[in-house]
Amino acid sequence: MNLQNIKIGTLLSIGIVGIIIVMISTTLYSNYLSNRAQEIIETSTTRIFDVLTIQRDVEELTSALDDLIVLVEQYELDVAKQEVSILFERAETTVHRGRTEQIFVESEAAQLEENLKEASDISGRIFELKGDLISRDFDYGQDYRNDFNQDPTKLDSEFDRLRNSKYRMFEVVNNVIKRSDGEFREAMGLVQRAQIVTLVVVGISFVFALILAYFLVRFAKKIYDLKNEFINIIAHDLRNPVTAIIGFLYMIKTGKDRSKKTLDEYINIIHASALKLRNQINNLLEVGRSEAGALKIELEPVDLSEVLDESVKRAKAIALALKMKIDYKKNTNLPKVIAEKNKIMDVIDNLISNALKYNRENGTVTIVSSVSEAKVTISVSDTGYGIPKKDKDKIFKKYSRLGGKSKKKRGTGLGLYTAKMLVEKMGGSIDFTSKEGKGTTFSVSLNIAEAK
Amino acid sequence: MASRKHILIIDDDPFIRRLFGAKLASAGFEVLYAAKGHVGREMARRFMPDLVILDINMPETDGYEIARLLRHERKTKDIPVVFLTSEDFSAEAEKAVKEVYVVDYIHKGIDLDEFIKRIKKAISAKNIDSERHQEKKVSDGK
Repeated sequence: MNLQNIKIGTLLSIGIVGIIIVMISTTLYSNYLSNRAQEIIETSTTRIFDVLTIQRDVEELTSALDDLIVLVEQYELDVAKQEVSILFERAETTVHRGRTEQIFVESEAAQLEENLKEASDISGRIFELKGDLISRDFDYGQDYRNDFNQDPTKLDSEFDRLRNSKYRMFEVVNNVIKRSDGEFREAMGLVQRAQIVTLVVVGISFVFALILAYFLVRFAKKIYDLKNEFINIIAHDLRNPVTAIIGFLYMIKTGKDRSKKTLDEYINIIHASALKLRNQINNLLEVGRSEAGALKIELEPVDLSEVLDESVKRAKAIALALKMKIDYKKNTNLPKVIAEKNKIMDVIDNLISNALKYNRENGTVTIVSSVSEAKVTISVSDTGYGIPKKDKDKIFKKYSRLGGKSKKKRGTGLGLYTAKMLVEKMGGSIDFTSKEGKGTTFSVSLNIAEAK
Repeated sequence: MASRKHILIIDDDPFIRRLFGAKLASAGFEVLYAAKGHVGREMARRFMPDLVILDINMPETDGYEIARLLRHERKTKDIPVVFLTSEDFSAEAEKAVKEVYVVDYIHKGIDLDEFIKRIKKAISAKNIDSERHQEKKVSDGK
């Protein structure tokens, strides 16, 4: 289960880190967009406020100019004099504001300033003109009119220039307002973009979280199923021999048929079942130790022919009950190998037990040992139905399930898984060849111990 | 005495087959054996036993599948089936039992004399499937 725990942990942390990264980056980006929008809006607001003030001043200024024009046209020169001085002050104030605004809208402000200057120049000239008129000290009315009649175009042209200047000022102010409007639109666009990005990312995160949750649930279910399967294998592989032992003992005690042949058969089955049970318990303990991280192998030089003798003796007892044959010829020239005696005996027991289990009725199990280079190889062959090609990768898995179309399948048990685990811990290797319909051969190779 | 009842045991474990077969034989039944699901199904077709004792956990084709196949075939659909298993009875198993209409569900750890009683009961019991059909007809008639 350790490996699976790591997988689930990795999956969880990748998912969580992914979500956190996406969340943080979105928050930062959307924060940036909002800040920029706010800046633009603030600048634009200040500018609009300033420009509106200027616009108000310019309006006042131009209306004062209009008044002036009327006053001059009506020859009320004393009042006109006052108006001109007020107008002059206002013009100066407006020019000052225009300079401040220059920071924001340089070109427009410069234009504005120029126009205002022009306006105040014209005002000044009107003022001078009026001064001249007054200093003549002539009879109020007739003479002044006469004087004007002599050169009426002079004043008219000044008035035209004043009007033009007024229109240009309005134009400048309108430009500034137009530009601010554009900036407002841009800012709103940014705010919208931030909202969309946030929505999209929240959506993606949600979907991501859902997918993650789905896989976690599936993973948990898979582990649950595997554990269930494991329990079923134990139930099957441990309970069946116990059932046989208890059942046949009961049959011996209570049965009517007490012929030697029958009793022998029952006793052989009890013996075989007890051996199988011990084999299963050993496997369970090895797997349990391995999962608890407490599996220790103490390597030593082992005489494999001794191990084979013992294993074959047990196997023959099982084969007798199954009405099968064991074919084994002792090889007296086997060099010692690096292994642990009890553990390699478990391995051999598992391979023979497996071969008997999947053998044909009245079949034979053949055990052969051979030496090549630095290794000793033990082969266990059955005359069974072979392993289908599609199942070949599953053979050594802990909960492997072979064959069939139906949903529930019988596991092959822990035997081959335990065998592979133990052999590899002893520095050896395990492999198999299989012909469908003909049989399967499992081979274990172990390193030869160097002679001392 | 009426002719001996025939019972077919389908189980991949040879010792389990032998144990329950020996007990059934000593109780007067004629026993047939099958080590594989599909072999058992073929034997059920050919010999028409009075009862099929079926292991659930078998390689290749499991007991549920065999029970389902027996039910779906006109010839074998009325043969009562009993599950004999070493698995503990689960909610999943209960559901599957209802789906395939087995007469009984017997644990392998059962006392052998009790086992014979249950088998005798099962063999005389009407097929749950046909009972259900009758019930359905009655309720439909109302």
